[in-house]
Amino acid sequence: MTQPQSMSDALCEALAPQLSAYADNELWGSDREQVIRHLAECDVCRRTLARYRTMGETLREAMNTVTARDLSGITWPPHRALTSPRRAIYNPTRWRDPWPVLAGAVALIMLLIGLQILRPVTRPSNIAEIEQLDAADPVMVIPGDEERMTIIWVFDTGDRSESVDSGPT
Amino acid sequence: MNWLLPIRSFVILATILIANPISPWAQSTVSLTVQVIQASRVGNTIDPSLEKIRAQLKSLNYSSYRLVATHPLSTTIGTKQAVALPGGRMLDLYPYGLSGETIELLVTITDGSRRVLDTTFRLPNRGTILVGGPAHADGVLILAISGSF
Repeated sequence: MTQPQSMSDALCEALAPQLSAYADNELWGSDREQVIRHLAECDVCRRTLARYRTMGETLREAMNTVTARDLSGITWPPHRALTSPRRAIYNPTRWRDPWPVLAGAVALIMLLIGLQILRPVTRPSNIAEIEQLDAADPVMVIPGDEERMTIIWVFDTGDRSESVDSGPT
Repeated sequence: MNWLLPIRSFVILATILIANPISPWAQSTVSLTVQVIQASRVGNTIDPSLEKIRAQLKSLNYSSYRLVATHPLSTTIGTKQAVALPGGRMLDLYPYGLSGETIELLVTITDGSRRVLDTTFRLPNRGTILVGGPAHADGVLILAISGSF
């Protein structure tokens, strides 16, 4: 059973705002029931609903396409493009003013001098290390330690000595 | 800038010289000191000038120690120094290198054509080594060889 054309047109105009909400699944309760019943009898509103849905799908697809395409290749913060162009980091004219360079060099030299001064002083060891030893007579080496010096003792058996000395204990 | 080149060269050279712990300018000179000591078992005296090494000497089997001569030598690496010892012997000192905090030293004692001792050792900076044994008079000679740089 269809409604008369005039009644249908009036109802269509009354339900037009709700039809859009229905198309977006944002209509609930009695309003939704009323729209469904009207759609069941009104070809015009069904076509209108179909256009709404088609338009909505088209917009969603377009939005998805734009979002995926444009955001996938972005590697910098979007706000970067809004900032003013930055100045070049390397400025060749900087070397024309020598004072910063000289100040840096003096600071570096002072730092190195400071490191030399603060270098931990190693306690002088009194231990001599024998690397090679050769003697005409028997020889003995008494290794040194932190308290004693290294001693090389030659047991002189030459012609100048009439007796062999006993040497160190 | 052309005039910046000498400044940069100076800075680089100064940095290398300061950073290098073995600076060729500051450490090519080596000071060696040879104390010639006569040790014997006659008497019981120790020369007061040997006070610094008194404890070392007392560990030896002698009762008397007398400083015969002191030879301070200022030399450079690679320069040989000779010291005449009592009894016609010769002591040759040849500092041939610096290694860290030590002096690399070649020491020979000759008696005429006879090579009594031939040794190389590393002597710590401000360190001393004792070389003893050659007979002299009624005892022996002891050489206290010290070095610094």
